[in-house]
Amino acid sequence: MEDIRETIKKELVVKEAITSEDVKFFKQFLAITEKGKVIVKADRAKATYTDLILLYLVGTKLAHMAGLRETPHSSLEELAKSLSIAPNAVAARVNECVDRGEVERKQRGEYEATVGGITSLKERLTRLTQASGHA
Amino acid sequence: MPRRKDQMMFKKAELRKIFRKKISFLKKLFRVAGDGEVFLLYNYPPRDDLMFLTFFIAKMYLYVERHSETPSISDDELRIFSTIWPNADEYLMKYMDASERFIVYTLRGYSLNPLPEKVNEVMEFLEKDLELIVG
Repeated sequence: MEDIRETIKKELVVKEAITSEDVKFFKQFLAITEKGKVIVKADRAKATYTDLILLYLVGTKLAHMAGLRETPHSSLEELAKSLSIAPNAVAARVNECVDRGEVERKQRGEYEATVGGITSLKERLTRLTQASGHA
Repeated sequence: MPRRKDQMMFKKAELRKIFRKKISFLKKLFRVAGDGEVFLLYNYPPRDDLMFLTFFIAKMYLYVERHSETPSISDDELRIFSTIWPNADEYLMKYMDASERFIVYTLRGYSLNPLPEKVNEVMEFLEKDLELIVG
């Protein structure tokens, strides 16, 4: 029993944490000001609304981890305003992300990127950069 | 149960209403010649993805206003697009992405998603992103 437990952990269990590698990866798409403001640098011509929203939520999470922001989540209003996306489009895309498990709904209409969301965003952005050289 | 043709006619009428409601906005984006040729009225290379999408809107407009038999853009036309917009393939990938679904496959090629709610969303998307350019 002990053996199979270890094998499962070794072969199947994914760490639910953001790594230094993730931070280095997102550096090309994100910046965070000293006051904790998230700046999305992805090319709007190539990134989808979902990419921009997930990037912003990842930035929020990283800003919180760096101690630059009180919470690791953002509201729909903040997303719409910061990304210049129509509020109903933000709501629709965020709901789809919640359904896919990429984003978690917190209290009072706040949303946080999940580790699964970060992984799938990395995959999407990697495909995008491979196709074009840079997103 | 309405027949398929009736359903399509109904959708076309609904789309016509959407296009007519947005006609002043659309008139700033493109003109169509008598023979159905589309002329884009703006040029902003950093966001030529928007110009690419506008072309699909113009094709759908021609279709719902009965100036064209199809809203689709064929593979041959797309190849011509690639000579105008070198990143056309990436824009197609972006707008066909499962999270956007602004452009869909058709029997004759690719078309703006004919669902009325999607056409509304595309118009809103274009208005919002063009606002960023104009300021």
